[in-house]
Amino acid sequence: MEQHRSQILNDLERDALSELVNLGVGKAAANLREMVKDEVLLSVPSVTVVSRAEASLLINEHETGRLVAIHQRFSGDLKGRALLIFPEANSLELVRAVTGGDVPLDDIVDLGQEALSETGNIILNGCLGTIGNMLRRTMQVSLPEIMRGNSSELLSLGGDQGYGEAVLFLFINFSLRERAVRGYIAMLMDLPALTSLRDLLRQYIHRMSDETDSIHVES
Amino acid sequence: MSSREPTLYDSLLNTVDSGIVVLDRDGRIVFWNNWMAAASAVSTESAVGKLLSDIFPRVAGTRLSSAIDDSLRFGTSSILTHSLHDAVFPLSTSAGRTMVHNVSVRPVVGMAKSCLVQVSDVTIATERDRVLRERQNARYDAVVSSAPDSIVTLSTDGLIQSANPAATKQFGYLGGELIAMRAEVLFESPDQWISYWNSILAGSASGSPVELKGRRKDGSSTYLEISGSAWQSHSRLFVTVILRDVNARRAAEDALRQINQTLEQRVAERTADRDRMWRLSTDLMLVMKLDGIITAINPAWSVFLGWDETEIIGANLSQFITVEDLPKWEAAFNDLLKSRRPRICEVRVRTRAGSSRIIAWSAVIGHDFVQAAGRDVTAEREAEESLRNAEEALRQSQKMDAIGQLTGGIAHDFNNLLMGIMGALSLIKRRIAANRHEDVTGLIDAGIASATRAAALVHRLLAFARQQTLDPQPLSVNHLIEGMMDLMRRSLGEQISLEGKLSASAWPVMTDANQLENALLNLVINSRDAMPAGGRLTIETSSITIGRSESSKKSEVEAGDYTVISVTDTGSGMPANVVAKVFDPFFTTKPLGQGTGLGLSMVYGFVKQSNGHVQIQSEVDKGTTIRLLFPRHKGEIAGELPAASSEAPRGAGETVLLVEDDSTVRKLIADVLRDLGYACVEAHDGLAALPILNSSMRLDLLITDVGLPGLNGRQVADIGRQRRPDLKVLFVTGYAAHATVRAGFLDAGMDMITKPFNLDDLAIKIRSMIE
Repeated sequence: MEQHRSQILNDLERDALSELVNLGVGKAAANLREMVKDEVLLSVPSVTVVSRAEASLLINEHETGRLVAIHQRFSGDLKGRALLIFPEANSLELVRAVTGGDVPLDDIVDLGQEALSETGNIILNGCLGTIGNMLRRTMQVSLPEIMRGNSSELLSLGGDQGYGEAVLFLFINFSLRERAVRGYIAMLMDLPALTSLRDLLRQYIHRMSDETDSIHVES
Repeated sequence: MSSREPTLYDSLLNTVDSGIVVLDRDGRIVFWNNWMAAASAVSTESAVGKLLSDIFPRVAGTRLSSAIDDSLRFGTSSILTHSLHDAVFPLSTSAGRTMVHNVSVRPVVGMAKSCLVQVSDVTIATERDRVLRERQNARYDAVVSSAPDSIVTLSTDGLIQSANPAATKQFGYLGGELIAMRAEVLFESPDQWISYWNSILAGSASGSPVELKGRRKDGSSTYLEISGSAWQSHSRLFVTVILRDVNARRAAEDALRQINQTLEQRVAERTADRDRMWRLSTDLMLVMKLDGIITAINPAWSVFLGWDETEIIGANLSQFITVEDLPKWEAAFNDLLKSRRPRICEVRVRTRAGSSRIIAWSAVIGHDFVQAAGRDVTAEREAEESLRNAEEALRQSQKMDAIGQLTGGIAHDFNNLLMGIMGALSLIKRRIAANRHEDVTGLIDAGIASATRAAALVHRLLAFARQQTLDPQPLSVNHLIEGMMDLMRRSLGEQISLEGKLSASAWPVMTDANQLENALLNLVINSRDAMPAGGRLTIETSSITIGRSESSKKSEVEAGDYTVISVTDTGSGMPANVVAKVFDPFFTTKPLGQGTGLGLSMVYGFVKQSNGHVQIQSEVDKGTTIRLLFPRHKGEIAGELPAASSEAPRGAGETVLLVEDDSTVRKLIADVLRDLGYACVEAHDGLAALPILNSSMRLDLLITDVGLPGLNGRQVADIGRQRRPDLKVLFVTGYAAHATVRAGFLDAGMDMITKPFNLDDLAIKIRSMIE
């Protein structure tokens, strides 16, 4: 099962997805940059497909404390939930970076909810929008919702096992105003959704290799 | 939209309490509800069909436009919150205030490629939050911002989330610089901090503070006492750490340690200091036991007194004090032992060379020892002595000055008296030659009266001129003034009338009679000089009691009973500026050479010495009154000498040897002696008297002039006493100086009589000596 799930996407497909996601966060970074009037770098170094439990373990490997997550649902040709997850302590840094850093601690704690959900909203929209666009599929993406808890609590949201059988798990690094913040993007999808994602990726790869054949041969 | 009837949905959408805008695939407005119209002041009619950027030009190129774009193209939903966007739209509340609002952008479900922009008013909520936050922050700031200790709040990942001003100051950072730094930067040894930090997070830190070495931004270290505790906010955990600067305490502890380490050295230094003082002092220093045995002395003893240490250690201090001061020293030393309080005593200490120095000792007594330091005050005392002598000489010269003033009047007066004597003698001689014996007795009485007055006058002058120190005796001022009236009257001359108003109730005073006479004469002479054309001089005595209230007004005069002597003249008087200076030494109104200017200042000094006061009242052309106030003496006045018996006592054949070089005087005295019934042997000088003294002739009395050619009277008496130890001797002298030294001059069985003397007085004296 593990083997099977991780092999839903082959290396090429995974690279393609990674490229799409990076395009998406790149767009999100541009949006953030526009908003905070400062350099913002977002990067997604790797993409894997794992089970919920594995995703939870992956997070726990790196994080000991409590976590905070921005949650958005998507429906349409692709269905699932997207979660942007930070260590709670890091989240404060992210808000401070976005708001500019002179805000007193108590204000950040109060404003953090909204600022964090908007920031997460921008990043998730970037990813989901770009993926949908590149795959030429339409989705409806909900408004963001902020949640706190440990990794398994966050990943078992709603309890509907239908979603979340497979987790498209991405590490994401933020760098803004000289602060580095580490986070995770988890896209919880059911197998049919994942399968259709794979099909869409294959079509995308096909289109891309037609357009840029020579480049792919060389690489 | 206006062209058709409003549907239920239109009505509902226009009623909801939020802004609703629907955009078509090109971003054009297809719906704009009443709420939006009211908040933006853009009517539905004018909004529909336009792009948002047509209505709000600044929307173009913002996150809103990309959110709308994404929604239309990809179906994404976005929120734009007031926390990151000051105002997405320029909207106002119904009251006209700037509206704080959140915006959401969503694809419209069921309508292909259209987008819902929804605006919600959060003005009230954010304001409430802000007020609450500010209130909370104010309390927090009041405590934390003004705290002298560094207060740092950390998130659980060890990053600094807030730091109060004391913290940035203490560690040398700029405001805000510490935020998001790791707390480790504040410590010299991160390991110590981390172990403490972990104990706080684990809840195992004890309540008591921990001392750590901190590190400032510039790398310098600082001692800190830290205490931390964890707290929760919105389910988030924070740790607040208080870092107290304990450098002062550490410095004090270090200093204390340092002090302990160097105590010995400093004691040694201090001892060396004291030792230097002991060695270099010009004061005599010593330590002695309670019995006066000296155990230590400083080198000043040998430097200034010549004594060697070996001569003094072990000796008793009293051995070095001159015999005459020994009782004074013993009294002071016993007093010191008894009272155990520091004492100061001035005694003469012998030098090794045989002289002495006056040393002012101050001594303190300890448990077993007395420490004493002595300062040589010989030079000071000598200076004081010479000053006293100079003052004495000045007083004497002042007296001579007064005599000079008197001489003119007295010489004239004395001539008158001589005239009376000579005249009486001439008349007697003439009457006897003419055998008119009946009138002789009257003439003789007149001559004797003149001679007696002349003698009294001379005696008074001599007494006045006599050199005497102040010798206060209880005396009656009335008696003294009465005795002076004659002298004063004579010195005033005929143009000035002298009046005495002596109060019989005047109290006795304690003062020096001679000086009081001197003072009164000075005043009388001043008055005389102030009345060149004549006038009236009044001398008055009275008694007054000065009460406390009066005394405080005239602060100079203390309350009490006083005897007052006033001298009032009717002379030229003095203006106030002169009155103010009359008691100053050398101040004089007289022409150069006619006065020393010392008269009144001497009067003033003398009265002050007698604890009295001088008051002066003067008015130009009216006259001057000077009042001398003497404190009442509450005691008896020494009894007056008994009046001489009316008849001179007679001898019973006793033999008297009379030595006198002046033959007239010798003959006169010899005649008187024989008249009185004594046998008289005469000698004209000392040499002539020796054979008589050495013979076995009976001699009951030797009467000898003091000033003889060759052997003087005293030598004659001494030779006479070698053979006749019990020989009574009566010296006759015309010199006041001899009279003043009576006490040292006369031995037992000797007496003195001053020329000129009354023959009756001589008879009384001889009788009392022989008996």
